[in-house]
Amino acid sequence: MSKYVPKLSELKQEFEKKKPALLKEDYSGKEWWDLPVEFRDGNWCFPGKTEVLEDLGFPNPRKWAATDADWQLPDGWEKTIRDGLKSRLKRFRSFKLFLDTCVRCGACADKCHFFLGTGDPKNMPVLRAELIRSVYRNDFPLAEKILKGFSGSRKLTAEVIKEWHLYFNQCTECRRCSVFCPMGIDTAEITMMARELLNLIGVNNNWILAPVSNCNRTGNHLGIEPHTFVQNIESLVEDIEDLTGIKVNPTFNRKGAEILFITPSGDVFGDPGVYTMMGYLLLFHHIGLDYTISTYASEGGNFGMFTSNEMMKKLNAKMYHEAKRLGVKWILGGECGHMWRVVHQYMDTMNGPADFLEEPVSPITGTRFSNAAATKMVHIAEFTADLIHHKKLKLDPKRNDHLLTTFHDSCNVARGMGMFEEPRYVLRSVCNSFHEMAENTIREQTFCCGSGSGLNAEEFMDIRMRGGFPRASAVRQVQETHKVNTLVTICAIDRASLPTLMKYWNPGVSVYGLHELVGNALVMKGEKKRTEDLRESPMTGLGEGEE
Amino acid sequence: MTIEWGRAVQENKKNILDAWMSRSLLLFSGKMAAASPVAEALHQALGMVLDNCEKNSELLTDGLVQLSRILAVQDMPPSQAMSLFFELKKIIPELSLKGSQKQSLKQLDMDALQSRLEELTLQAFDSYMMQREKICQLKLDESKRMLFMQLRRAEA
Repeated sequence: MSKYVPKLSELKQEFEKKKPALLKEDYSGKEWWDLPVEFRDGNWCFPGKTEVLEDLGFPNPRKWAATDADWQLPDGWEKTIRDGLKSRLKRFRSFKLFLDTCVRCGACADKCHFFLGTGDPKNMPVLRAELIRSVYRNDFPLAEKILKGFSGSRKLTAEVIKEWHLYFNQCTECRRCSVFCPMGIDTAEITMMARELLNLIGVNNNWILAPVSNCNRTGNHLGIEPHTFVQNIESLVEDIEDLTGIKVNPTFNRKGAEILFITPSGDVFGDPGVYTMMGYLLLFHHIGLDYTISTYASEGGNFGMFTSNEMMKKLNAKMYHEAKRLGVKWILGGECGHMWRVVHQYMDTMNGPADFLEEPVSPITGTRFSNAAATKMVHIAEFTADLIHHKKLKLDPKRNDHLLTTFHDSCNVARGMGMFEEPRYVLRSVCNSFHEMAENTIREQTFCCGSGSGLNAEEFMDIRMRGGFPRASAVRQVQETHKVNTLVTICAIDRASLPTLMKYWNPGVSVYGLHELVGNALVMKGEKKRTEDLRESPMTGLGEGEE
Repeated sequence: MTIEWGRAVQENKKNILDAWMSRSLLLFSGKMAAASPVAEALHQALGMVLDNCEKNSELLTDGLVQLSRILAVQDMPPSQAMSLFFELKKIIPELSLKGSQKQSLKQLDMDALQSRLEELTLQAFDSYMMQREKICQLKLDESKRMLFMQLRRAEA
């Protein structure tokens, strides 16, 4: 027998070790916090690299892993957390309110995709929030301190920190639970605070901090230097010319342009985002828009939101600094998720008012976007919907006949901005086959992709597949009933993570950005005969010799 | 000709499926509610496997793929995931006693059942490993997609 074959005793030992914790011991009659916290391959993200933390000036840079027994927390970490919690309770009244008002009704419990996908009770939003609330109760309100035991309070220990790290990184801040909360508690904000606190003692996630560091240094998540950023877009310009015969002419860092266009950098370097970028470029050429792209504010996404308020503010500020420097009138934003949550919900009081910009007015239709009066930033979906509404686009939806579509509402745009109809209006105008998923999985009740808020790490794949299961199930339903083969979305994280989710749960469904379909359908003046879409896939019935 | 244990399965399918489902949920360490979407998908997959367990077919393969797709991303080692097939060895004779046959399966049937369950377990294990391989491939694909433009330039 091979020497590599494990001995029976070793197998038994491994089996015992990996056996689900609840089966090892009887936990009846014990408190919820007695359930053990177990880190296994696939359920934790790699921590921030030392050099990344040093770049950012973040505390406690070191080599460690969640599976280590000793996390090398800094001396006095308990005080750091307590002081951090106190300071945040004072600074953010919403946080205090959310900790104080929960009545444990449980309405949120089965609304979380991570709870539905994992079945883990600590993934119920009510219990996830309780992880931090229990410490807050022990340390703060006097009456509850006296009533300790009745109030569900507990001491802050290293085990609690491990538990926070595990479960606050199984929340994508999607806010589906908050839709159902009768008290209006936004669990995402509790998660944001918990992650801020963890960052204070160096408990973190490299998939979040590396993009933050890159963005802080070069302006985008992947750390693409300005010349490469331009080269990438020029390369897409060549592709567009090959496919359509049209040469589009984006400009970079041009002072005096009317509009600054900012999109997630995934649209400039990643597949399938680049096809969405090609769609934008075709659209802007089609309407003769006076716009420019910045190589400094080369990222719409803002992973600062998953790190700290200060970092979110700093990364958001670069977009507005650049708009000021270039002297544009307003900003047009691409298809992104959390960029829009930051802009729509936090920007005005965080970096605003952006009174050096003008209230956005479409130069093509004259529509005044008074909803963007404060932020001076318009979402591309509403901009395009307005163009279509005013019949400013020549569209041939037949060109998308090879795509049988459904639409995934991106959490931050749907729940964070209330934008439901504009993307659907655009989608219906550019394709002939569109089927909605089940009512309780779309619009404000949309299910998250399972990888938002910086959890798109490959080492976290098992949990991502489980967290994304409710979304995948809804897609599967329309795949089976309507032969849907295309999942359209308006978020860069979705475009990065949903292809993986679909390939795992629903093979045969591909993921597209909305403006990729716009780009396919646009009939450009002087174009050559179009037989292939922007991915160079044949368009149904439009091949050579077909009419 | 339908073998005896196969007939016992078909005649008591609902009871066997329910029992198998309850025991399969234990794999999730008591955390997965029976009415959850995952449990629903698991029920459907177990049903497909049970319907087609007597002989190999495309439907059986589909059922095993659906089942292993769910199991391959859970917090449990492969050995534990596969153990659910051994549960059938206990469930089928136990529930057959309560069914229309009113008698236990003969030793010969038990041997045939045992042999078939071993085959099914091995097929399920292949399917499970295919899903794990797929997870690895998806990780690789995702990295490549993220570096799409860089790789394209490097290749050119």
